[in-house]
Amino acid sequence: MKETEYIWLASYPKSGNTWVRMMLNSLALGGAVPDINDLELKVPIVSYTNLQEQFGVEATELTYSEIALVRPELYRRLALESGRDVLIHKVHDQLWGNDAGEPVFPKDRTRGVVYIVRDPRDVAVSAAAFFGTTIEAAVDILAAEKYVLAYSPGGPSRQLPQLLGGWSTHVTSWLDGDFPLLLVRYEDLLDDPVASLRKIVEFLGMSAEHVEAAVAATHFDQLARQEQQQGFRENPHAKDKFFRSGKAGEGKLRLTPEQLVRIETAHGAVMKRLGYL
Amino acid sequence: MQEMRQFNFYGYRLSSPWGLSWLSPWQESEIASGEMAILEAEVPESLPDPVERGPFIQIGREGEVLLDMKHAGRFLLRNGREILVSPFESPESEAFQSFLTGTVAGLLFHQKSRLALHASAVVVRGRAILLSGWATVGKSALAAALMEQGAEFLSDDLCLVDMSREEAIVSAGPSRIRLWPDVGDYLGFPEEARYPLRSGLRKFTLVTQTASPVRAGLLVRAEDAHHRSVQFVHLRGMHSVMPPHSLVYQHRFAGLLQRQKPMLTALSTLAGKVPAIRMEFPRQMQQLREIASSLLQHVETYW
Repeated sequence: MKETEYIWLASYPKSGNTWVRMMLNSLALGGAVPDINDLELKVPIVSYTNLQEQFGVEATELTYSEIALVRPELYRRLALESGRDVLIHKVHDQLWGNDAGEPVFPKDRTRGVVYIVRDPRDVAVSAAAFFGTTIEAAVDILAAEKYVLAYSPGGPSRQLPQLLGGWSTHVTSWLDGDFPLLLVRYEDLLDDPVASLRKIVEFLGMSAEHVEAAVAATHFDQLARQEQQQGFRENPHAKDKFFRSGKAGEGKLRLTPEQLVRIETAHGAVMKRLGYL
Repeated sequence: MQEMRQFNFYGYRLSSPWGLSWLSPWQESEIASGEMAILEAEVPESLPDPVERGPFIQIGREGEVLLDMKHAGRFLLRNGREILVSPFESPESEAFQSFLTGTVAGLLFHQKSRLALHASAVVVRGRAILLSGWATVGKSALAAALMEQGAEFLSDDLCLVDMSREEAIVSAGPSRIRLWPDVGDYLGFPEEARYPLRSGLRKFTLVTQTASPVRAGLLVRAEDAHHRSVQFVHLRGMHSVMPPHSLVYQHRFAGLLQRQKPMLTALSTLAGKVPAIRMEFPRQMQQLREIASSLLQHVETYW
């Protein structure tokens, strides 16, 4: 029997990952509107629960490095249990290796990566609420090479800690990694969602039927309305909206000139590579 | 020859060559559920041809369990009675005792076909509230908040439930509760009362009172909500114990040890004896007291 493989739906936070997942969920429903809190294709980020269930030990008593050491095996186990041919799995980590030198995403179970990227100036504005901080601090986080998502010293979040690192390192880790890759720019998704979704669907080997319907069913207003009415399970800070604005170009309007310079200095090379500068 | 000491280990009389501050000394007036013994030994690094080979736990063909945990030791569990240990850390350390009374205890209970729930428990007016749920849902935090409002401590994270009597009886666990700094700060536990669980980790333990076994009064299936209110739903029949993954401690391992059948029988008995609710509550630390007090009010319906 062929072993289950992963497609990693990878991105820095607030770069369109959730939107793409909603589109894929709508496709799985034949183009219907997905319930944002009860998704058909559950592609959650790995949690302490997953680790504890698979390996039988108290996961919150493991250190960051110990968790990283067992993550590849955890993905292999989850793949084996799924019974599917392919698993589409959301990830926010950069592509990184644990202390044993093994990528946390096991190469032997990887079919490919859909990497979604967004202009870091817009990410800074959008991610401020996601990180529960100010725009000024979000600009710092985008440059922080050791930044770990869900590494909460106060108490564990549901998800396992994920190494984000700086935005540029995040992007290049995936783009220059050796997994088969489809690069999707958030701005292209906004500009022509149908064409972008077609490319994704083709890469995933899924049927392109219902692509238009899926785009219509996951329009920003639809997702924001659902969040307004019933909240969004995946929002780390319930006081702020997750589906906030969704627009491109906000960074240039809302960041101070100093903040813009800081981002362009820190990330200029990668921004140029992606056509943002 | 080392002198053996006797401790109360979830109602079992446990002999140990080491002092274990998490457990109370065995009182001769108590009736033991059975005997268990810790023996210091050279534990092998692996089992031959195991049915399960994980990064921390291996399960052998005869149902023996090998655990290898850097911050505690290497353990071999046989027949739910013998615990052979090569300690890597001092057996008196918090990390060792937490591992012994959590992961190791759960697997021993599965070897013995006992019902071990993934739950913390407190006592309100003579009956236990079992707070069950996935890792990180906030079982211990909720237990600590209930204790602030008058509930007594019974067990943290693992509850051993005796289904053989007329009422479901919950054993008293070790006299420690494990919490994170956000809960500690919110509930105002002083720094000097917090014992770090292991270096590199901010989780800590607090000493609690020594408890006695108590009949189960209510099973709470805790879930985190994406909305901001606390909701209670009464669960009927087998719905109260399904799905078992978030209810049974190390559920998958009970299966690997061929204990599905006794586990389902015990769960079905539990469903018949103990009322159950699903409780959804938001992950909002600033609401924890309010959440605990709404549970206490809700409990009145069942007492």
